[in-house]
Amino acid sequence: MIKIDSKDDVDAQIIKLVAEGDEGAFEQLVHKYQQAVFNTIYRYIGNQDDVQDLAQEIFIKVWRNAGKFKGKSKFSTWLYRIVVNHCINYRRKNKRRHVSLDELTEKGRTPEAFKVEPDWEQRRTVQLVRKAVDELPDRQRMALVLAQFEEKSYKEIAEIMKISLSSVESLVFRARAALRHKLVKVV
Amino acid sequence: MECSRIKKKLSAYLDGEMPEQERKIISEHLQQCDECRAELSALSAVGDALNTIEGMEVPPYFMTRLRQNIGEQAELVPFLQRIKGLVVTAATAVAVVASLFIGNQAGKTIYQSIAQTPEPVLAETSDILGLGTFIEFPDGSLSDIYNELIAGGNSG
Repeated sequence: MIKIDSKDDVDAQIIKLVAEGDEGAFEQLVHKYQQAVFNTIYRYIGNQDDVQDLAQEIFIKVWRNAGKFKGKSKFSTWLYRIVVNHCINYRRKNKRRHVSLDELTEKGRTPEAFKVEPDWEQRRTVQLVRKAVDELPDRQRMALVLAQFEEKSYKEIAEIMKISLSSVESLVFRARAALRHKLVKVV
Repeated sequence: MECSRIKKKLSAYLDGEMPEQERKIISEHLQQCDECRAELSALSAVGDALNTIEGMEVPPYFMTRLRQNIGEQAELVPFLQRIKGLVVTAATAVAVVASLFIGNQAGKTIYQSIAQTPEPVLAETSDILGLGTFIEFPDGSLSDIYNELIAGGNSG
């Protein structure tokens, strides 16, 4: 394990080592960010089937492009940018064969998240919320996932998605307003 | 500030994403306006509903699989580079052989077309030079008499 004293630029120093081919440094980065990457992908694409493959592709991209990270932004911003691009491309490619949560449950395939829910009503609520999120336009959904679940600041979301601060505010607002409209009987 | 403008700001208000001055104005408005307070409450409930969506656990073998994938790609890249070199060499060789073959065929075709049409060219040329006039000599001309003298014994 690598020991780095300065807390502010730990990631920047680790990614430099990764660029030099240090596999231990790479593992350190993966362990630090893998849970956030999994959660973001899962909450964005809405099914578990392809999450691991996407996460693999994302971290392989980090390994291969570590030398291109110039430190102009935080490492996490750079990583999330890769995550966002991968997720949005995935959704565009898989739009036609995307299976909604309702369809999944009709086929008897219960998403993992449902299995831990104690009662049916709660499961139904989760199902409706998921479906409502799934129906949001791509950019609204991504901005919402980053703000709501990853607790990113609007400034960082703007850097990740390469849009203006006011656009982030508008996307998050419109996403929540749409959800409020769709979930009027639930919330 | 009007209610319609306040409502558009409530999402950012919930996320703590606004300057202190603006936040203060909205807080004061909320104390007086039932409608906007209800809107804030509804948006807050949407946030609570969203939080029921759980994340996904990272499988324990994720890092192992990642290492394998990177290892396979590392082996694959030099192989692809070698293949790329071979493909370029093979393509160059094919191009050279093809150009030699095409050149050879084209040469043969041109030669044959020239060899098959010599007479019209010679006839045209003889006409141009006036050589046709020596094929038959005019009657009574010196050439005709000379010709008859040479051939005389035979013609009788």
